Amino acid sequence: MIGVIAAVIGGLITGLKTPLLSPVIYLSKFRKDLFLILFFVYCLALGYELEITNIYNANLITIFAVILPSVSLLDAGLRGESRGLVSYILVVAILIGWFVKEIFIIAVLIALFYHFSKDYPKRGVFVVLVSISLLTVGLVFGKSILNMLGGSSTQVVFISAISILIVLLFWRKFRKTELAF
Amino acid sequence: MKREEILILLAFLLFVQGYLLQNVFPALLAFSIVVYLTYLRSEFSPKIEAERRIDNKLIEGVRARSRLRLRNLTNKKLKITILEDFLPPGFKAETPPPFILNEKEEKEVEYSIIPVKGVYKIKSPKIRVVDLRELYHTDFIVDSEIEVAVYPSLDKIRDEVKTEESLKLATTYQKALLGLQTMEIHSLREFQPGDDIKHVEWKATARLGELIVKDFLRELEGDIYIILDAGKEMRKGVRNSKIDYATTLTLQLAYALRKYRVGLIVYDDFGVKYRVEASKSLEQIEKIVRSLKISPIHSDLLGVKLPEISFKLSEESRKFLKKILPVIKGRRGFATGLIEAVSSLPSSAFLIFISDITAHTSELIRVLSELKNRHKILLLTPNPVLFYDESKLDRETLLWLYKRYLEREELIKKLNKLVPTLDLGPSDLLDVIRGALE
Repeated sequence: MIGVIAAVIGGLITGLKTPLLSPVIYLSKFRKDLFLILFFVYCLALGYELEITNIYNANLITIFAVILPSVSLLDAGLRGESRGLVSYILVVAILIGWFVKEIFIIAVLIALFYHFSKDYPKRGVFVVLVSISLLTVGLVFGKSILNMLGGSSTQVVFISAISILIVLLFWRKFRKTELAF
Repeated sequence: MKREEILILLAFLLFVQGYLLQNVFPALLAFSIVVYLTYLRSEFSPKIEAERRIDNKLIEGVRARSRLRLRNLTNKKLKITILEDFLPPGFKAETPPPFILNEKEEKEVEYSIIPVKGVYKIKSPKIRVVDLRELYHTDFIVDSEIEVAVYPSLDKIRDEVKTEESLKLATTYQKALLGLQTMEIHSLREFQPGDDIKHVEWKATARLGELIVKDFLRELEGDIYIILDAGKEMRKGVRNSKIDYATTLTLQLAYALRKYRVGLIVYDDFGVKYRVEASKSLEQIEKIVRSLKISPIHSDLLGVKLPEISFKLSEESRKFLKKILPVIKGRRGFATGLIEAVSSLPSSAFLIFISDITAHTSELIRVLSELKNRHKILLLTPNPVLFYDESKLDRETLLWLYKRYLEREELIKKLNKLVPTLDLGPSDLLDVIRGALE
């Protein structure tokens, strides 16, 4: 539920309409395949609606206010959420975040940590930290090359290159579950 | 398509979208999805222990309990699905629905397996461990085999025989035993359950105020002879001897047919033992009772179990013994008891054979083939499977019985082409005859 509320509030903060559809996507979680397909369309719609031409000039709060709730929504749909006192406190914090954007970002981040802490993660935390660090360091050190007029395509290519590197570094071979359709 | 591939495709399309539309946001969203998938892949490393327990002795078609002990060795919840992919052909498993195995939890799951007869080595099931988000799974195959022996179900054989025979028995008895119904009215009587409604005499019913039916005369030609086999094969057994059943059946038939001229011929492996000429007199039943002093062959006396000696003779030895045995018994020629029994029959009669068809099969078929043109014949045969002492059942005996049962089925089919043949069990006695005669 936190994922949906965060997505809706995030949409309201950033002035986007697509996140307002997140409750519909969340409700489809009882059929995971349908949920994944709706989430697929939701993300593509978000990509069309929110435009960032240069990452170095972009408002980070806007980026986090859309991306973090999207991840939270995805995991809530796939894994499900448990309700408890902490969840209710986080929901209140996220609602307050509608007025104070910084509180919203912190609340969503805590919600994500709280949610994933139930997995008792070990290697996963390291992998996430390394991945984000790689991107951040890359963007910082590559600023001189990437931060130029009309450099958005170059930035996209750079981010995708980092993503491919992460895949090559950390992905192991698995058997995957088939879609039930 | 795999579920994860949807998300991978989404990430790819977002990168393309970002590149083509010169928008960094879709690329960042795609990056977050890739990181999310990387996290899930890193965290999914299930480890479980499993052990299956199942009885070594199972019964065909009867649900056997399979107990699977599972232990989650990780500190993550896992979704478990049991897949019985390695069961022998014909086996069916009623596996439980997917369930959650909590962190470090040990759980015993019980489910049913329906086996088919034979001796098999059963491999442990495939245990599919799925992550809670249902994106990935790993199959665990426990490297162990259990040898199980699946015995044929005696109850099933019995039930099948009984069901099939019960359906046919009454009609066959009526047709074969009492002859076909003629159109000539014998008498009028009160309606009884089971009477055909077409036989209701409506005028008499209206006159008397209760349902009256027409009783028709039945055609029956000549004498009736009950030809009872009292050979060694019929007298085998301790608790449920076939001869005990056959004598009871003979008496009941004789009593049921007391209105007709009934005779009895009892023969064994070597000749005719008793003969009661067909008669309609009142003393006839008593004569028949006196003739039926045949005892089963007991294998243990006074509770002392004698060692079971079994030896198999070669085909040549058996043929040789078959030739010389009548000579040893002081008899000449090749005529056995059955041939001697039927040699003195009148030219036309209704013959009811009660015999074990497996003892002298070829001879019986030959005799029946010769007699069927002149006589009306009914063959009643006690099924050895149904007469077997349950306390003596073991694996070998069951397999042997089942083999005999199958052979017997073929033989019954063959005999049925010649004459009406009924396969009977110990309880197919009073009810069937009563049902047919009433």
